[in-house]
Amino acid sequence: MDDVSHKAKREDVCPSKKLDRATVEAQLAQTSGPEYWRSLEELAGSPEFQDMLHREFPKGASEWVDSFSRRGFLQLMGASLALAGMTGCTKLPLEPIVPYVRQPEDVIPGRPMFFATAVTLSGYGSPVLVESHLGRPTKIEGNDKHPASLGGTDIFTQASILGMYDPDRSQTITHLGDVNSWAEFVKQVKGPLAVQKGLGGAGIRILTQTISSPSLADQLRAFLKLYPQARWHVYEPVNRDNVLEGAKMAFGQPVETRYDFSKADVIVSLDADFLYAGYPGNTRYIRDFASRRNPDAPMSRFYAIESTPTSTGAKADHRFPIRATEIETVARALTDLSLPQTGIHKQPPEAMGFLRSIADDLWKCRHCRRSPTASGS
Amino acid sequence: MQIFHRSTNTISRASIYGAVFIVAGLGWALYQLQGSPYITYAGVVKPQPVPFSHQHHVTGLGIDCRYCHTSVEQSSFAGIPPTKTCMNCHSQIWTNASMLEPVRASYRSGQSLQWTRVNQLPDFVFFNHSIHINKGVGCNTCHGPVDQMPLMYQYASLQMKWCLDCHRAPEKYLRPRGEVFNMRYQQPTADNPVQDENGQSYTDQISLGKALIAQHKLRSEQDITSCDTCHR
Repeated sequence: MDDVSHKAKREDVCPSKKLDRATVEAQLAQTSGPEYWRSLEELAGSPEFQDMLHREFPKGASEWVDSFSRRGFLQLMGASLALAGMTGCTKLPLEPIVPYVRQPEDVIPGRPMFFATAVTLSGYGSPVLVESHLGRPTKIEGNDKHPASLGGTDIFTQASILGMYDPDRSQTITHLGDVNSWAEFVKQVKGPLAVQKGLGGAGIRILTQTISSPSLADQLRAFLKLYPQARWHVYEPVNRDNVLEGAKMAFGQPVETRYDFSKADVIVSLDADFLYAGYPGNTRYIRDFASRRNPDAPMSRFYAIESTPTSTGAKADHRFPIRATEIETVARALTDLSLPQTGIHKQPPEAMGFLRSIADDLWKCRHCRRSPTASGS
Repeated sequence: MQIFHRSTNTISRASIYGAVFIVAGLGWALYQLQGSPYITYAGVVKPQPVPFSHQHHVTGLGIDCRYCHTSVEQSSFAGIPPTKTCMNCHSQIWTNASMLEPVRASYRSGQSLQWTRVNQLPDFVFFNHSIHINKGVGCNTCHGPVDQMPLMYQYASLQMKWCLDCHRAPEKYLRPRGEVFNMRYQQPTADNPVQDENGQSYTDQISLGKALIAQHKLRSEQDITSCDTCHR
């Protein structure tokens, strides 16, 4: 296939007709009320996009143009299988063996080493044990001696090992795409920093993810002290800002709530997926929650009120699906119905009949052990 | 018209009746080739960056196997010494020997020496040094008289039948744990009795081996000849 037709075919499969602003604005001018679109092509209603939308697979994806027949394939596969064992009869090629120059202490070649460390996700550290072979980490498991893990990990922690071998992982200092050295970086940055010194750092912006490392936070604070006008921005695509805001409203400061599900007799979850990956402390919560789910011992009762099906909801004794917007109403209604601290115990309104059993349980539990109510963000 | 010569008749007759023998002969030749040093490398000296002499270092200087092969008792891999191990002595002696220049270059530059693997098993075979050492298989039972090798070579064929020879009858080869690294060890005879782990003397290998099988807690013959013991 020559280059031109190849290009033509690609555009055929994925229409990439350039849209100009005037066209889009003209299209928008004709609409009224809220409109939703998934791409600019859809917005413009281009015929290329309509064509792609109504065809399940792009052109060429489902065609079988190879002249190789099914019979030919089976013949070749049969022969390959029959002769597969012959590969054992080859002469092994010479293999190099490459020892260390200076072997690190405690390394036993052929046996893994385990390091206790932490993997952070959105600023929350998961205690882990990393298996390492001759300096190459290969597997992550939970640290069973750490109270926040007890040997458990979640999917994000398990998958974080792949980040070590991510080809896009930055391995060195680069400047405008070219590999550079740390010394060069220091040299380059010295000049602008000296200029900023006079301005109090007014031109400096630092962008980071959530930082929970005390030493890094301290270094940043020291930097901001040096450049008081500089700004430090923290961005996390999926954050818990609302949770911390809530904690501020409830306790006056942005505290983290830690639940003890091993002591809870009644658990009410308001859209909190606390048994699933990513929820801070979920590995510990799973163990604690499970410890009270033995039918031969006093069991806890778990109510899940949630807006999406979650694996936490699947574990609930009673699951009530409601809209995300109604969570607040339910939370307020629940405190109105049953607040053992103030001696209130009422019947719920007709519309929230499902809250009756929760309110009754919470009321019954006013003298028993703490009943956590977990809430999502 | 006669295309072929008359003698062709005889040749064709002979080859029809001889087909079986020709095929068998070919098979035999291939089998012999498969077991020959050309394929197995048994007894073949492979090219190395430095002509290291085990004879000189072991017999001449009396260095123990484990001074260099440090992980042999704990790991699947016996361990190839880092350049540092060579330089422990060779920063003091033979410091100008041209033969040792690759070693010094490696130590200076931090680039590893690239040895050629002498005893190489296919990747579909799992082998663990430590279990053999701890069950009383001597180094030279498999590696041969390394203390007399000026240049290292592979002693055994490392073919599966060679492995099974011992796995089917370990009593023919086992020795007390204290003798595993002894390169001059002799199997017990009437003149040279050998004591087992409990101090009892034996004058023949089979009865010593049987006693050691129990004392070293070897798994049953069935277990150690099972396919998945080595092909995991």
